[in-house]
Amino acid sequence: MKEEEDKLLDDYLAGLLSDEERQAVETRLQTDEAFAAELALRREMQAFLRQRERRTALAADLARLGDAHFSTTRSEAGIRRLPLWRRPLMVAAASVAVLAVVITVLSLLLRPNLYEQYAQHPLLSLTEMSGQGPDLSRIEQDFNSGDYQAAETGLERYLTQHPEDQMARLYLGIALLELDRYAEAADLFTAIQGSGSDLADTAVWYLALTYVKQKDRETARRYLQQIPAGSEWYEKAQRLLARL
Amino acid sequence: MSEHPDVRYLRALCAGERELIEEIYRLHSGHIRQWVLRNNGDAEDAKDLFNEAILAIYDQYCGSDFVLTRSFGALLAAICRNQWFSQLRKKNTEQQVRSAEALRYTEEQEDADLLVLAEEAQAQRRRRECMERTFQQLTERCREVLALLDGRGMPGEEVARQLGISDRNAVYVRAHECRRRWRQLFSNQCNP
Repeated sequence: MKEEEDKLLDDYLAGLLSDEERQAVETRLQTDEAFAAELALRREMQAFLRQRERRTALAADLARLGDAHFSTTRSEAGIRRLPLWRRPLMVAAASVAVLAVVITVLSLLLRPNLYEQYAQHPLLSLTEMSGQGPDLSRIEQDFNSGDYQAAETGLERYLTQHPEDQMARLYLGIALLELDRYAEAADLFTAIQGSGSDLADTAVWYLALTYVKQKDRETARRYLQQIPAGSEWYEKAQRLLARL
Repeated sequence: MSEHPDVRYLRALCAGERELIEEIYRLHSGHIRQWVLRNNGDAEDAKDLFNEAILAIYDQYCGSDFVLTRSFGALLAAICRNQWFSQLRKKNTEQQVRSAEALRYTEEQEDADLLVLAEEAQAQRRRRECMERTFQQLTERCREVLALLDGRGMPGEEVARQLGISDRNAVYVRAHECRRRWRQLFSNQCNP
């Protein structure tokens, strides 16, 4: 492909062409298969880059889930009989393990965890870039591993340089909610709700969770009822409403 | 054909919703583990296979207009099987491959459509891996420019400011050169 055609397609995708130039490209795409295939590859690469950060975070989370769900079976392929003298030790170790499981199950059963059941936060994926300013990978890692104190500090610092980033603001709210700093979290969620951004429904969902965590079911219910039927949070909101 | 109710798992995966993603593991990890153990693998193989199959589904269907008409578990199992047979073919003895192929024939007769989906997902996975590999072969500056401009959709002026490049035109020129180089690497290394 010639250099000028190559640049033309880049500029077309970046929205840098005039109406007339854009129309000419679109007409050519109808008839020139090689030209259309070049554009398709560019779109694929752009989509790859857009998904890349989120995918990296997802892969890390899947690795953790994989460890949790497959860990008890790792040795199955290589089971060996222990010599008799080591068996009492194994019995003692097994007893401790059983006791630990019983304690865990009891603590789960006794814990009033409606909030925890629904506070399954989407993965944070700011960027992999860390050349300037705060280390964003570190913030993602802190948030996704549940270290909300460190994530809160990092997000506050990040937002001083990028105050327009509503997504980061939302995640700061979630970190504050996890740290039981309810008023600050609610302020952030309310501001996002009122900003008219795409994250408004998400902010309302988290406002509801803020009150679920404080056991204020009436206020939580009022927020959940504000989530419209077309929202990605609607199904969850309805399930939670049924339990309040 | 109408959409299967399990589409909620696919949507959850695309949106990164942990609650339902964990449910996928709860519902299907046992079955896949047993299947791998019966077919010359161990639990560690099963874990890797399962995680890779979930990522293959993410790569192939998130952001597309795919309509899920089968259960999520059936799609996941088909992708795991397909991937496992490929791995066996690469690393195992002829006898193991023969017995695996016999099993594959029996299982896949049951559902040819799922086999097609699994093979498409595997092909997409290989393509994506190659895209990542060739992206990594670009210079660090190229990766930074493309990640900000194309990945995050950041305006050229902002990219120039963050990376210390003179102005937005210089950013566009640099990005154009980087994309061109990336496409060359991809065409040379990734096309069948």
